[in-house]
Amino acid sequence: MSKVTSSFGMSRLPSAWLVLAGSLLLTAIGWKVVQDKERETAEAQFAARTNDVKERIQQRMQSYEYLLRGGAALYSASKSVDRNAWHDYVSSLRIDQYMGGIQGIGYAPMISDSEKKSLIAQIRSEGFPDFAISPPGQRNAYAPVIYIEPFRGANLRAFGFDMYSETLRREAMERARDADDIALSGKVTLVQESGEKKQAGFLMYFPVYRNGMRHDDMASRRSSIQGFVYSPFRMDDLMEGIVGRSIPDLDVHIYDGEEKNPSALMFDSFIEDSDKRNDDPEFTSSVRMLIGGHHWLVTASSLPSFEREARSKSPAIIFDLGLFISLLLFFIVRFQEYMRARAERLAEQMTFSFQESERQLKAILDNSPYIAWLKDAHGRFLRVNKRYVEYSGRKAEDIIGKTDLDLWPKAYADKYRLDDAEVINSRRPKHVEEQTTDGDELHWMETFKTPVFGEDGKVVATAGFAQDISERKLREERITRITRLYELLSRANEAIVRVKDRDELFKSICKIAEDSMLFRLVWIGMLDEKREAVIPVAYAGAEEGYTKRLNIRLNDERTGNGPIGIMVRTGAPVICDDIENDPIMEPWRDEALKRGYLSSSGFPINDGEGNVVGVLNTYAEHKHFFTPEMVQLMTDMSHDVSFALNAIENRDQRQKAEEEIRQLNRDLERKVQERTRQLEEVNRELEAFSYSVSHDLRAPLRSIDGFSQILAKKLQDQLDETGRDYMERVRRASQRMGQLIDDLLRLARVTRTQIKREQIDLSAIAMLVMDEIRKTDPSRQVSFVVQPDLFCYADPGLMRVVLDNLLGNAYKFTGKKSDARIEFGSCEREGEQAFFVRDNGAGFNMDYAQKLFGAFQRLHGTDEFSGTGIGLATVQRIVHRHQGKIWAEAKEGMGANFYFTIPQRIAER
Amino acid sequence: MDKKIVLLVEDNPDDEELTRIAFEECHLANELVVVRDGQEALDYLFVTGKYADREMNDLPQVVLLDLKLPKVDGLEVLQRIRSDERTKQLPVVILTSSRHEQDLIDSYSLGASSYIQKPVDYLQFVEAVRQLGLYWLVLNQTSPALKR
Repeated sequence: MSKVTSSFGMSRLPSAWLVLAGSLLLTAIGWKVVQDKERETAEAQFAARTNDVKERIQQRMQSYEYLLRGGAALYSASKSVDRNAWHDYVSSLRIDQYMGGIQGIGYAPMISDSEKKSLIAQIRSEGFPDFAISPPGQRNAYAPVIYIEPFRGANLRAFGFDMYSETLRREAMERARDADDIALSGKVTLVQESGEKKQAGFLMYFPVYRNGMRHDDMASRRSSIQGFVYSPFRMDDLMEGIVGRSIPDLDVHIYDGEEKNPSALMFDSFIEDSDKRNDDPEFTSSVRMLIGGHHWLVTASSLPSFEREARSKSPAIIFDLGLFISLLLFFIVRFQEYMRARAERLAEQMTFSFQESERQLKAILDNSPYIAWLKDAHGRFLRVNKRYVEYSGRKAEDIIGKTDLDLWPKAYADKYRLDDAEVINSRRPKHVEEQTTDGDELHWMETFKTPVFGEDGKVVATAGFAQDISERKLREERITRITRLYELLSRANEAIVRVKDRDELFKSICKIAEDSMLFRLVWIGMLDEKREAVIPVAYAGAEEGYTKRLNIRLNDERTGNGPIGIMVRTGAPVICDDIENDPIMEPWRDEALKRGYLSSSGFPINDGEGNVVGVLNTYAEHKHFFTPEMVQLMTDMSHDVSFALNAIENRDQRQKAEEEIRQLNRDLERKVQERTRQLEEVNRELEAFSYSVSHDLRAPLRSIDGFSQILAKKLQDQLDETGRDYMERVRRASQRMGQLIDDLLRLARVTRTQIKREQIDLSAIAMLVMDEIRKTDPSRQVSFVVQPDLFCYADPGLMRVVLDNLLGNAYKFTGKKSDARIEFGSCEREGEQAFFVRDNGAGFNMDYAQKLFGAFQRLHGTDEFSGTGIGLATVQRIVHRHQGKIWAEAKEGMGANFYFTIPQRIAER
Repeated sequence: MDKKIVLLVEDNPDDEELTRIAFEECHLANELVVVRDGQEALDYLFVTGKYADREMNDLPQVVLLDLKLPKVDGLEVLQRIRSDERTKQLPVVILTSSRHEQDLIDSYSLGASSYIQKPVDYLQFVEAVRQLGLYWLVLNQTSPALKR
């Protein structure tokens, strides 16, 4: 690059710099012209501004002149002007409001020394007793101020001042008198001035001549002068009224007289704060002006702000723009120079390095892993790399200038040329993966073809790169196969979960395996019960009757030693890579080959205990089809199938067991129904029985009892003691039988009637029962204790029967006690509430407790205690029908305790 | 008051006899007409069959009706009595050996005036008849609607 830099810096320098110099000169000239023009404009502007100040002063002074002339005219028009008239006149002018700078308008009469006394006396008489003329002293003539309006403030100091006594004022007065015109005094300090801010001042006079007297020449004027109308002015105030507080951009001075004499300076417009005074102002001017016969010199100098304003932007813009354009031009020229230099240098280098680059390109192409070539638009080879030469097996010289048709079989060459044409027409690259031949073998090639454009944008050639991807393709195929295997496995598992029927499952598995792996055939066979034959149960694929011809007998020497036989015996997969040549396939070879099965694999299916119960067989149309990973995954699948099979069989067994249970239940149900029917029949019979008992058995008893009584009565006299006793026995027997019948009927009724449970107060029932029992023998003394508020959920009628019996028994068995005591209450037994009836009666021997609740069982003789022996049986039945328990505790001679429980809120059956 | 007939519907001659004796013992002077089955009872009451010549208006003061009867049973007899305009206000006392609950319910729902179970004990039986007679034949006022 150093060379580039030097050529950029030196060899092409002059032209660029010339351009720069030229354009800068033009810029400078342009700038100068514009600047001069600008200056002229500024000067004119400045002069105009100065003149404007002068004009304004003159205009304003003119106005004041008219005021004074007006005052004088007042004197001319009237014989005399008194103080009030003067006041009215001046007030009407409203000078303070409209005329800034004028201090007032006054009148001073011209008097001689002789007139002085009378004037003073007159003024004093007007109400000013202290009036005097100042300065004091005797003079020839006086011009004292007698009127000054507004008559207040500083103006009061002028009252009585003899203006004629002061030189500058007298000079102006005389000039006014002689010329009959307005006259301005020189620079004075007004008598009104006091304080600190003293300003320059001046006075303006206008003569007033005595009425009716001639004053057309100087002599007549001097003789007829009566006085002067005058105005005092403060210079700064005046100028403020005219031009404002200060004059922007300008420094204006006003001098009294015609010279720039510092002592005569009356006004300086500069105010410190507003701007900076220019030591060397760019613009200055001075103007003389004549006012009231008096000269003023007005000077002006520019202030920096004016100069800034005057200095227009245009010269600067012109300068900047010019400079920018110059530089731009400079760089454009420089860049062109650089480019040209570079192009020249490159051409130079290319010339030198063409062979070098050719060598490099060849190295790159030859070392590329790609087969590379370049063809012209007609498909003629322009160039090929080393790999192409190797791949084609021809020399490069034999290839260049030829087309694909000359090199490759027509089918392939046509395809290549078609791709080339597509690249040329579409003007876009093309990528293909294709199977091609190098003349001997088939290869998978990946080819990139791309158009090469000429300068006119047309496709002039095609470049191609190709790579042998056979290995990659193999890998991809293997991955595809494994993917398919996993797909198979997952679909098989899905089927296992979904399909609940064994045969359906096998069909699904066969179909899925055939589908996923593109097997020719898949079939599943199961061993028969004797484990002698393998029976095909499902298949998928090109079966064409193959499984029916298998005829595998495990005990047969021929068909029992094939792959399936081996599998059943070893429990391991059996692979047959080449059916054509594998001896174990001998019995089935012809049929297999006929159907295009060239290799096979078989996988055992096991039961829960690991015994082989079936086989899964697959056949492929290629030799050596089954790779190890395939075998592994297929084995996994057959395990899954085994597992599913077991699950199905377990489920089937369970279903069978369930079905048996259901059958048993149905039988039971039927039996129950039959029993129920029988029971109902028995119940009906019992009903009929009890009906006839209640009606038919009673009638004979009544006859026996009735007629024996009647007989006894009739034979009263004939019967002896024994006879009467017999009659009595007949009677007792019949009554007892009547009692038995009643009790039996009650027991039967308890068994039959429907229980209707409700919440009942057992304590209340017990009280009721006891009251009734007591009435049977009011003479007996029995103490009865009832625990209050014992509730239970039971049938009220039946519970009444229970308490009737238990309390009745207690009453009966305490019959021989003098201090009989019966209790009804509740206690807790085995976590349950138990009700009890307790007495202190005869009690019983616990050895016979078992017999207590049997019908017709009695533990006491009838002669001892009456009773049928049915009561407790009835009580037990009632308690049992309430799902309760009943038991008794007793000791002979020590009383008895009867307990019963009534479970609460048993679900209604 | 001279002809207060009591109709006893009773198939058992023993009971008939005992009832008669009980009536005697209780000094009940009323005529006791006994019929042996339900059909006979109906014939008597509605003046049909062998009682066709009877005066219809001679209704008994009270009917003592057994339930278990040959031919037409007591409940049917009761129902016929109650469904006929002429007899529906006739006092009918069920006098039976049955203590069957259903019989009680059926009897009363068919309009029995009273239900008395014949006690097995003769003395009690006599007492029952005595009270029955006293009530139905002496104390009870029959409906004026009954024509006799």
